[in-house]
Amino acid sequence: MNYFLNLLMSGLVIGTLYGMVAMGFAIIYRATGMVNFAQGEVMMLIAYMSYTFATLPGVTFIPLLACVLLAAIVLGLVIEWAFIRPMLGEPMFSRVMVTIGLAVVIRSTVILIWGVEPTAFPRPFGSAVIRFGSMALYPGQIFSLATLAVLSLVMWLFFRRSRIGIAMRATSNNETTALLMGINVKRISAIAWALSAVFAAFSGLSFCLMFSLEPEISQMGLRGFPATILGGLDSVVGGALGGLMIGIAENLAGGYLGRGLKEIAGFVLIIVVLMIKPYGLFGQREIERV
Amino acid sequence: MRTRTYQTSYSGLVALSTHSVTWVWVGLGILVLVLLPTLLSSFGLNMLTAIFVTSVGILGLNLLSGVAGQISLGHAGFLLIGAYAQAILTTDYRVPSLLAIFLSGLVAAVASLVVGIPSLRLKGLYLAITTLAFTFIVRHIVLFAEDITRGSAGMPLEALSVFGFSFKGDTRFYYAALVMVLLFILMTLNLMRTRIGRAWLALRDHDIAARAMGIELIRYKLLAFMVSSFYTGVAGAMVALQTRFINVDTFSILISIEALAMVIVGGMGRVHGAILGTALIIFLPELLNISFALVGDSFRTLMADRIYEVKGMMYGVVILLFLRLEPEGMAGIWRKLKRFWVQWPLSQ
Amino acid sequence: MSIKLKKAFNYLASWPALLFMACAGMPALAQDVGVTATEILIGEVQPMSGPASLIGKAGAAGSKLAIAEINAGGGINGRKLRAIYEDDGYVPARSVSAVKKLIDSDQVFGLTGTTGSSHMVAMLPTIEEAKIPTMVHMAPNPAVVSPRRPTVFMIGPDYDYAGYVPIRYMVEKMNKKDGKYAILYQDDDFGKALLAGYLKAVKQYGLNSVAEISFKRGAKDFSAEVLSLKDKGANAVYLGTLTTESASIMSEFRRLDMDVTLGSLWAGQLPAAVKLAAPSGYKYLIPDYYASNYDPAGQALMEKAKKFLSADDYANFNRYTVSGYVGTMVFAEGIRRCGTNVTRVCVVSELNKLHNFSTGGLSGPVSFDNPKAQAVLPIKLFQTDPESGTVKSLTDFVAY
Repeated sequence: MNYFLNLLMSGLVIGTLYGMVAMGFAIIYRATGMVNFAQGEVMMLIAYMSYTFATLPGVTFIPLLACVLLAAIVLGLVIEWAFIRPMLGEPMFSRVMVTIGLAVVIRSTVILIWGVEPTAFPRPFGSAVIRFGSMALYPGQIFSLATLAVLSLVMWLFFRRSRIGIAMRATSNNETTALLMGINVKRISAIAWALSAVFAAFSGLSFCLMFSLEPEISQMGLRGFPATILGGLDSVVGGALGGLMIGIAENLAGGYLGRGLKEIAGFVLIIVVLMIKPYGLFGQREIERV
Repeated sequence: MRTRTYQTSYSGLVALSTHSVTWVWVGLGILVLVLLPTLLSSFGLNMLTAIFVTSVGILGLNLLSGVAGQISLGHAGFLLIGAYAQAILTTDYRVPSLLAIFLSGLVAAVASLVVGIPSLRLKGLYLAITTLAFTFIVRHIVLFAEDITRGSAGMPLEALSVFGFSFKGDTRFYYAALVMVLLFILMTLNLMRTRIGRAWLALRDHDIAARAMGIELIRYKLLAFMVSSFYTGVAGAMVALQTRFINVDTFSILISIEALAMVIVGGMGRVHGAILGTALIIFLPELLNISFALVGDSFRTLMADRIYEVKGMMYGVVILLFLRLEPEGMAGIWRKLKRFWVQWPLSQ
Repeated sequence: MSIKLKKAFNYLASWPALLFMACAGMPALAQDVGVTATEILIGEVQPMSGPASLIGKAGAAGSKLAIAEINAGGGINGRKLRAIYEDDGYVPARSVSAVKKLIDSDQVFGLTGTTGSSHMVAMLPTIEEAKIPTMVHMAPNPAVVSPRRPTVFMIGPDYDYAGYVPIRYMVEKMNKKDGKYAILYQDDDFGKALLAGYLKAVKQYGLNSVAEISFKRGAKDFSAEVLSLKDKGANAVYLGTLTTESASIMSEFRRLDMDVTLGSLWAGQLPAAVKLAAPSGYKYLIPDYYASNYDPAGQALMEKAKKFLSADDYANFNRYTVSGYVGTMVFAEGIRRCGTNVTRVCVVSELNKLHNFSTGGLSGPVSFDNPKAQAVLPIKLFQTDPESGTVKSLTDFVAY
């Protein structure tokens, strides 16, 4: 039983990373109807920028977090303004390819500036293990769990209660009609990208606090996809839950089945889900029936 | 001056070209390609062969994405299937290599049903993600089925040989690749001018209206998948024959992205676009080498090791530039060049 | 976007066709290929970008160091050495295309860098056909020398030693014969070679192996695997992992409060790996056939690196730099022994006769006079010291 509980806990921990990445994908899809293939790279860029902030002398956690969030918001707005907005009206294929091109450029730029060697990220909470009962967690892992919980709650309230949330759904459904209804499509798009960058910031920080700073962070983007699909591409909270589920599924597969099945557990899960519930467990859009 | 838009008969509309001058140009072009090996070094031949071989796959992807409008990230997966099919058929089952190439294409086409049938209900980005998952799973299966595929050790291959004539060596394989790409270009042009091609275009532009016009979408979607995978399987087999060694690393997910870049940069939906796009992307590293050499040594020492990242970055920059400035891709540039030439001295 | 910008872009994009013709020109002729009166040209294919760039850049840096040192001393019998480095991004198809460029376009005399193991296998047909002297040292893969290729030489023992040596040390010197052994290995032929070495030790000493767990390359999260090890009670574990994975696994061990004796492979020696693993506080064993950054020979080489290499290359100095240095030095020795008449045939025959060539303490003596032309170097065992973030050597170079 202890073994099972431990696997569950580890699954939740890694699931928070997938969840935060998935939330980043979901918010952009929800607001603009497109998938941002550069999510992993944005995460990587913000993580490296955080490292530079964190190694400045005399920086404690709260100022670091504030700087990182500010940088993330600015980055999201800049990317949206410079690369995405000019492509409004182009076919979806081209818009998505822009994010792919952007991903390549960001990844190369980060390696160009910061180099390719993995580095230890400063641990503002220390690296002592915190024990409760028979479980033990590192502060970085607790941070990640807490962050996902808080972000999910905030997002759930945001979409339930605020006008912007509903406006977002309208925009992704049909841009032109939304425009006609008086919704500022550009502003919605900008907000979505800024929020997505914030999610990327949190997931990047969590990754660095749990593991290390390395170029492989950008691959978390791809690994977060199954979580997004499971939860539903347009459901932000669904993405968070999907991430937790994928994390648990992977760990249980790894702990009980072994033989490297862990890695594709996620991808197999999405194919199965897509066949039964194509719009994910919590998604609401219709997928075209042909 | 030829406008090519005024035709008086149905056969004129579907003809590959109504002017014999086009055929003269095509003939000259092929003659140049046939004579090139005498001028080029082995390295140049190798690159040109790579362009031909990759073009076959991109023609397929172009049919799927550019003509039929289905976004697919599974290109690497089908290349892998084609390559391994070729290796296994020729090594374990002693199938003659030429036949094996087409069989590999068929194997890939059948495999595409695995992706195609469930994704009938999906569209756009969901399809992209399913095909992405497919690539990962294929990779995993290749590693898992060690008894058949030799797992992570990879497989070496014998050179292509047709009825005893061996195509070993760069020059000979170049001709084999040239014949292959010309064959597939002809096939594509023919497909595009039949009702299948037109149905695909309708599917891309407005699928609901197409359905209303009586086009069975499921059938044509699946057909697009299968035909495209056949092309890609053949391309994978050719890559295997060119490098004569394959393993799972040969076709990573980055290949799928590179393939999409080739389609976009070339111009979606156009045959000559596919070829030009492939050529540009493959030639890009050399182009960068030349431009860096031109800029001078001081730049190189300044950048030192970083030169590799700069090259990697350039690749993304090229994609972004094309998307932003020339959405029609190289085919668009070609069209503008032609129009400039035809309209001179009155061209804008 | 302005019309002008679009036009400029269209204009630019039509140049590639012309430039293509220009670059694929005719090769130049020389004495023996790659040799002129004043210079000898060698080539390297290394992964300078992509997942293995840490290793590729270090290898290239080592080679640059060797060349700089040789040239500073007047060259080899009056000829300077020059190298061209090609990047293959760790993709086998690009390795083949890169090596063809080096052989046919650049007309190099020999190859001193051959990227990864499966990439070398892909390049073999081209290398054999060109009969070009080749030094393999970055990724010594047994398949490269069986069967023996006439012009290919390999420095380094087979991978399974990396799995064998730490386990043997644990049994003989650390009193762990009754321990519960386990291994975590990567699911490819590199990892399988490590597994073979581990199993050889298990069989030889009759050890109790409780778990042999494989994982896919690129995995980040090992919590399930470590939990599985804890469940089985493993207390002597061999980690067949590279840099960051080892650190991640050790932090999981620490979290679960496991008292384990650990062994890893030579990549565990990389300064980045040692620093990352330090917080977990485990002193793990590392076998290697090259000196470390903290050995006298390694320190001496770093001094030379400070003088001859760029700041970036010096900062990334690790055992792969040493490997690149040794590879090029040995090749240069082959050239030196041919005097002024430098031909490929001569260099190959001199290298074939090479016996006990000293690398100044960086490794054991290098000998190619055996059927496989493989210098099976003796292995040193190191142990990390997490407090100082350094590595100390436990044994000298020992042949196993």
